[in-house]
Amino acid sequence: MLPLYLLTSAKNQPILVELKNGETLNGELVNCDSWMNLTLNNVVQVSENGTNFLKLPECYVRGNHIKYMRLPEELMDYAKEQTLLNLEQRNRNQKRRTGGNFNNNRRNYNNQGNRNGGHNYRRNNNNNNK
Amino acid sequence: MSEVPAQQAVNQQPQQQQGQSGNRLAPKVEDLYLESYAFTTAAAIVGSVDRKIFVLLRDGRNLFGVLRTFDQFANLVIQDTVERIYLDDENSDGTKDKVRRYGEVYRGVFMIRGENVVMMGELDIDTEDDHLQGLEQLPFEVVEKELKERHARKVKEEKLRSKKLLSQGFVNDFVKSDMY
Amino acid sequence: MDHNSNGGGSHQSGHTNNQRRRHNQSQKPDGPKREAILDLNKYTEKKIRVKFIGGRQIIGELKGFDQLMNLVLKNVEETLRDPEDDHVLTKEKRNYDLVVVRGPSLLTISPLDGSGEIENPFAQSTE
Repeated sequence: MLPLYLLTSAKNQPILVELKNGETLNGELVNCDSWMNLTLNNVVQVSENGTNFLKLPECYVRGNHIKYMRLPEELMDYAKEQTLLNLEQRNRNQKRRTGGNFNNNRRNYNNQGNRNGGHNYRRNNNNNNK
Repeated sequence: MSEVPAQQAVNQQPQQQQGQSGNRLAPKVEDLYLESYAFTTAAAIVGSVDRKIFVLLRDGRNLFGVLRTFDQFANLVIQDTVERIYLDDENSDGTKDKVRRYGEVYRGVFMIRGENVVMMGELDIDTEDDHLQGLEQLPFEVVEKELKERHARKVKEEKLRSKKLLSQGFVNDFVKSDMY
Repeated sequence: MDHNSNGGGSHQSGHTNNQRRRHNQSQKPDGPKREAILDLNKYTEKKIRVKFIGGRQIIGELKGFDQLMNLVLKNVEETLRDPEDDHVLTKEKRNYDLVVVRGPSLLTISPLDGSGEIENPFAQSTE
């Protein structure tokens, strides 16, 4: 699961965001977009030197200024589950379609010398060609 | 399909691409794909998934953990992360330490934005802690404090340098957040 | 190579995948969005605190905005910073009547309402 998908699934969870200037924002993730811009609720902002604390009911953060985010551990278990479920589903769907014959092994996530370096960029590119 | 002779001279392939016929400025579909994906960032990182890695951030932090996922920007998701600060030999008063110190703290799940990563690499879990044998471990807060003091001093020094150089017409390239 | 691979629910087959999904099964996880996640309409005419890349901090009334998050603020007050240390705010202010903020230089936006300085909320009680 890509990082941004993981982030989207972290909605309504507590999150700690550290910005490039060293400030940290502790709050609940409300929303995020594909540029990593975030909106947080019930935020506590800690200044760089760790001495000033500011409480904000809401905050919008620009993605390009984030250094890193710390997420709750439980999120990883959830994400793993989701990935497994999707994989199972896809296998089931493919089985139905090809009658149980996995000829091309297309859904292979394990990057065995895949030309795209393991990532299916083609999916995005197909839209551009129309 | 006007201008066909000119087109065919340039474009050896038969007209397979849709919407290409009249438009010489449109990107060719084959240009969207690389010849070889062997040297992309993704190719380099994908082998390290689900393995223990270390990451050096631009602010100088060392993170050690299991890489779970990443994307084309090298945004990384690391689980069971431990942040470790190494203090090298130089002491605050300029004397050299007998032994190097370090401190570490458990952090959990990290999602790092790719542009903040200086370097990352896979760790051999059998030998990853060998180098810590000769080092003295201190509580993380102590080590963190000392590191902050060193940073503050460095920033001050660099500011002074920048001023002096500027007065001579030189520019000192120093960014406060790049401490690696 | 396999041009048909869509890495997921195939859009090409006549049968939709929705028909195949059991009621309790989860769909493919939602991807990140492409539209704006902050509705600035709810902040118009209100005072907001805006931080800039580079460290500046202002408080002003939001009068208008656009898709790129350029903002128009009125009665703006900038809190000046300590010349020695960019992160320490002084008590000095600078006032502007009308300010246009460029979206790309924004760092954070938060409403002034309900915000305030607090003591260390993470401090553990001493043993």
